[in-house]
Amino acid sequence: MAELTGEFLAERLSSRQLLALLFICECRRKKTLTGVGFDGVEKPRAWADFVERFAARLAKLPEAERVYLIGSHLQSAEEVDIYSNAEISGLLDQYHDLIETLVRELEQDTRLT
Amino acid sequence: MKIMFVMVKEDYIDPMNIELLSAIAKQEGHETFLNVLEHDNLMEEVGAIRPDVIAYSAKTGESNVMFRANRAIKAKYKDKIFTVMGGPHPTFNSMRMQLYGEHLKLPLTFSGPAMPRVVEDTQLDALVVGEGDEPWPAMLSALAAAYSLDGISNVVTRTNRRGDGSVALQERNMALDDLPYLDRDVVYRKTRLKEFGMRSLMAGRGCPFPCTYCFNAKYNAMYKGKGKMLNRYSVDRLVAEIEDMVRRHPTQFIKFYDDVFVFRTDDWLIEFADKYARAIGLPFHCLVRSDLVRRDPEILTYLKKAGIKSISMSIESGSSFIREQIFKRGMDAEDIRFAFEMCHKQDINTFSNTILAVPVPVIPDPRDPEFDRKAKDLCSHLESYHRMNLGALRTQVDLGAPLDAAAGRKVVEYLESVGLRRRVIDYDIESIDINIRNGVVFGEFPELHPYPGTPVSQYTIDVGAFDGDFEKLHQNYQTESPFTCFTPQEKLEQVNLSLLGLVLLVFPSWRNLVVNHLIKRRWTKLYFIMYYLAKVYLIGTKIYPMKYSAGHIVRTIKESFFSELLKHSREEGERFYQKRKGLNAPPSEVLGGPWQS
Repeated sequence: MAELTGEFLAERLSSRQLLALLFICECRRKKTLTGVGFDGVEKPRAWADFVERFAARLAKLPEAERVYLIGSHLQSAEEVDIYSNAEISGLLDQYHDLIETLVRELEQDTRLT
Repeated sequence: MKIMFVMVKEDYIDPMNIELLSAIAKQEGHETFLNVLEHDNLMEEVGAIRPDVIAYSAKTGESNVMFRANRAIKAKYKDKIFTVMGGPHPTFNSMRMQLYGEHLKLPLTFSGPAMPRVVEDTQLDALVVGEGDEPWPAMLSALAAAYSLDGISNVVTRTNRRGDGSVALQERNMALDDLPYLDRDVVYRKTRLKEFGMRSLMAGRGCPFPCTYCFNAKYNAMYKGKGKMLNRYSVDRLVAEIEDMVRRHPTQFIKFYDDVFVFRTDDWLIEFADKYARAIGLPFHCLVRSDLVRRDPEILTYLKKAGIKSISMSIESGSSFIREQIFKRGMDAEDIRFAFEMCHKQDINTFSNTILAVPVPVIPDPRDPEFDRKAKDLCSHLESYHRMNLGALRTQVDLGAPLDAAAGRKVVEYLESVGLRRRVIDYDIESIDINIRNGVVFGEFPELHPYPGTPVSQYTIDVGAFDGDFEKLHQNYQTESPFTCFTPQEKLEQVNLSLLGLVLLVFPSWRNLVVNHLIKRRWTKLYFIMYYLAKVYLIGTKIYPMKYSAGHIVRTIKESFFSELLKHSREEGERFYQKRKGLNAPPSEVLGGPWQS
């Protein structure tokens, strides 16, 4: 039986990265991911709704608590094992560009600064 | 081997821990028995049955009663009976629980939050930490063969105890389908649950949310990296067990007791809605979270399709400050409003828990000569302790300079905007109001009581509201608050509101009368009667509606009244109880209740 050592990849991600990942997982589950694009002038409605919902929940929380709460949603509603480095690494690789785009969007969102 | 499980008192919820361990033990070829300290004579039964193993599952609080029982057992039978305890209490307190033949010394090396610094003389032979059903078969095999338990994960003995308090844990059980059906017979032989029409069970295990009054966050930290946090029975396995249960025991209503029954609309829920409705067809109750319903409202559609009658969605506080900063609930008022409205649209009766009497700072009175200092101290507390960003306030007010009247007003406005209030009772009134506003059908309004090791307990110690003496806590959450930050009058109002809150859900138009006048009166006994009547009415007709004969109803009401009375009043409840059961303190019967310290 292995003893726990070291950190987990998910614990090294910022709340913005995790929130982006949560959005992607939610879209993937709802089979709406293909409709998510940021090329046009108008941002996707699903993204705006998603950020509005989570901004209300996260705005007053410090970073560590934001990370924990988003992680709870990833583990439950999206069934992502955040303590499986292989699973998290796979998701980060698969959606690298989209995550970067979403994180940039979040960095400009004053509700989550 | 003969295995006797001991529980303190019976409730209307199946003790699923005992029922599962009994089922596993029987599967391994052992005999099982149950003793209920509330009404059984422990020493007589142990003498008659002569069990090889006595097993307890303890929450903090009832653990003291079990220790007393166990000390009596070990004093008489010494090594002839092996005694073991699992459950939340040993899971979070094993490092201070002295075992049989052990000399555990202070100071303890463990440095967890809000842990009592006293050694408990348990006289137990072993403790089980975490999931108890995992090591259970190996433990029984070892005991039957007279082998040591020292190498079995999750088990603490006096010879394998680690100096740092850590315990080697097995991976989480991710194959729940392999578990046997719960052995309800072992419990129903000795309790009124046999005649009660509601059966409880769980569809899975695990909750990932960090609510600070709950042990799950700490539990999950213990199990980090040891397998998936959330595990469920397959729908077929779950429905098959319910079918078996319904065939064997008269059942009118099912209560799924998972912390969160469903997290999203997925294949499992869709399959459950279809198969449960067709194969079982009984009304049921389950627990979910408002924010999850708002994320995925279809959850309710499928639960309704399955036949749900009532649902629990805890609000925990009407104050956004308490909800966010103290309880870390991660949901806002809109989540709550949306979810309750959706339930009522679908004719699902709602049940909510809301915690009162939380130590929270209040906004100082601007007329107070010390307003300047108190306001700045409060801002400093918000920034340093709660790590809140007060940048918006600092752009308007120089908190380093003396506050003039205009600056004082801005500080007060800001503090109000983050959810702080001027009086302690205002937070609790806000909590009652959110329940009324959202049309909650049935609600409980317990007062906050700190449990060892939970983050909220550490918070209450950090802010100087609690001295860390967990031993003095009452078993009931509607008695006087243990926190020193409240005045006697505030404590009276909190108790009254915790009782009258439910009455207001039946008669919301009484709101102003209650919050402005009635909570200030010393009429708590009258309020208890009103609370009890409202509870019986709402539980019996809206939340767990079942049909019984007139005789059964009278008997149940009588029993539940004494049970409620007992929970609410230490002295009075005990007196009633002793009169009824003849438990007036012969030595063995001192074990008969959790209400003596």
